[in-house]
Amino acid sequence: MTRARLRHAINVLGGFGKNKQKDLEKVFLKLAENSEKNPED
Amino acid sequence: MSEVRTRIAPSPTGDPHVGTAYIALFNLCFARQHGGKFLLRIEDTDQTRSTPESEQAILDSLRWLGLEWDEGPDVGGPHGPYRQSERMDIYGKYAYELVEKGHAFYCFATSEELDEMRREQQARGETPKYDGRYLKLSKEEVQARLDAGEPYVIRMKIPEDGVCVIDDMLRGKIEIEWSQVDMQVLLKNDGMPTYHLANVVDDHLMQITHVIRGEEWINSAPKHLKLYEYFGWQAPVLCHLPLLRNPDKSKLSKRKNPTSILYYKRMGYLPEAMLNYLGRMGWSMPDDREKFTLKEMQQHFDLMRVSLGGPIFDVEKLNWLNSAWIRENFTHEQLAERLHQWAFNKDMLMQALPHAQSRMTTLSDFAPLASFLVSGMLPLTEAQFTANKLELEKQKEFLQFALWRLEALRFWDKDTLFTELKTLADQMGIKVKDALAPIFIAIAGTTASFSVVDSMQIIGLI
Repeated sequence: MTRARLRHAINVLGGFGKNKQKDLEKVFLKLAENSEKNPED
Repeated sequence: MSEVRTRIAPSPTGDPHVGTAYIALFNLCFARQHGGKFLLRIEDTDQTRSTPESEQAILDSLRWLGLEWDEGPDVGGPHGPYRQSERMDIYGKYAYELVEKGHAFYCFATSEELDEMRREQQARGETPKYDGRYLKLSKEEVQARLDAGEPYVIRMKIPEDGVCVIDDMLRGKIEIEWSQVDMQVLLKNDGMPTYHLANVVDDHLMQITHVIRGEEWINSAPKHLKLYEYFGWQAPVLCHLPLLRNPDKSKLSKRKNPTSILYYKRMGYLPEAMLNYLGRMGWSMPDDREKFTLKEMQQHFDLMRVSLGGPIFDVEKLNWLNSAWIRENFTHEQLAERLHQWAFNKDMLMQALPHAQSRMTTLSDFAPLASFLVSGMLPLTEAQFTANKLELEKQKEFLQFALWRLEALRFWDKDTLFTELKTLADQMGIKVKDALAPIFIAIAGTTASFSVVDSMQIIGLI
């Protein structure tokens, strides 16, 4: 139920619109990329 | 007419999907109605994404719902093995047979070459598709490339023009122009079959007479029918069921609706009610009664009465049906037994007590400490998050990123969970303690609970 409860909490906090969701996806990928480039950070 | 044989052929690449159960139910009912057989075949040719855990979850979930198969990987049968990864030595010869017959060809295109081809097609405003560049190589040239050890795939030939007519049981004649159909890869450069080749070969070898599947496969039907023709095999009858949809009519997706059968099981839905609800997806009993058992559905099933309007999977309606089953179909004794099987049992206590015992003064302290472990969705409010140090928007962002990281996990334990959350907090430049606060509330409804990763492990990943 972990994922289901995280989704529920996001909805309780108002969720994200489509555009915001797309922006967040980019930020998320960027975070992962930066982390791969600087694994010691 | 030969014995009716139907099948469900799930790929074990994730949680068991309600759509799989819906298609399995209709296949089972059709087979039973005709005194035939229903098979389960695991399509795990995608070895990078398939897992034994997912396969087991699919088998367990379908069985939990009450769906039983006559032949399958766990029950055997005369046409096994029923797991494609155990049939890999079968497919290659069929691909080469088609090359011999002139119905398929070697393609030596590199992935860079294909990328370039697609870019050029897109620049010309065309839909990207394989352009047949290796279709007309001479036999000598093909042999020379093979002798030189060039990597290759085998692609099927597709007519250049004309129309493929699909005779669908429910939809009648569907026409798709051959110009819209790609020259499908049948055998990959590692010698592994693609879905399309393995699917057709297995349906033939397992003597499937009726392929009842979701409408997302309609566009693949021309390739499949052409493969049957090339091999000289009798094609099965095709029937494409409408896809399950969200209440807003979009394709059922986990963003808008839980799609895992495990979720519904964990939430405490009854398998009888779930199956009853899935049976009402595009179909109804002749007397329109809303509650019915699997046995009753099998007795009255008529595939031709499936409605093609996209059936809506609406959790509110499922709730209504589930509550009707609870109220009307169980004695107190029977319901007590169901509650025991579901969560009120020693197994659950033994998972919770190691974390709760040190916080208990009296036995009655246990319920408030551990009730979130068996609850469904918690009655959260925005106000619960405002006491946390991070701004609400940042908390929401962290929850979303954490969800995406956890959705990508295939295997997990509490150490993995903690590492995932800590790594994310570090990446976002947030203190772990602050980052975990909204996770605590999301998972336990409060920050004053025992270890959040322990809690996550107990309530499961679903």
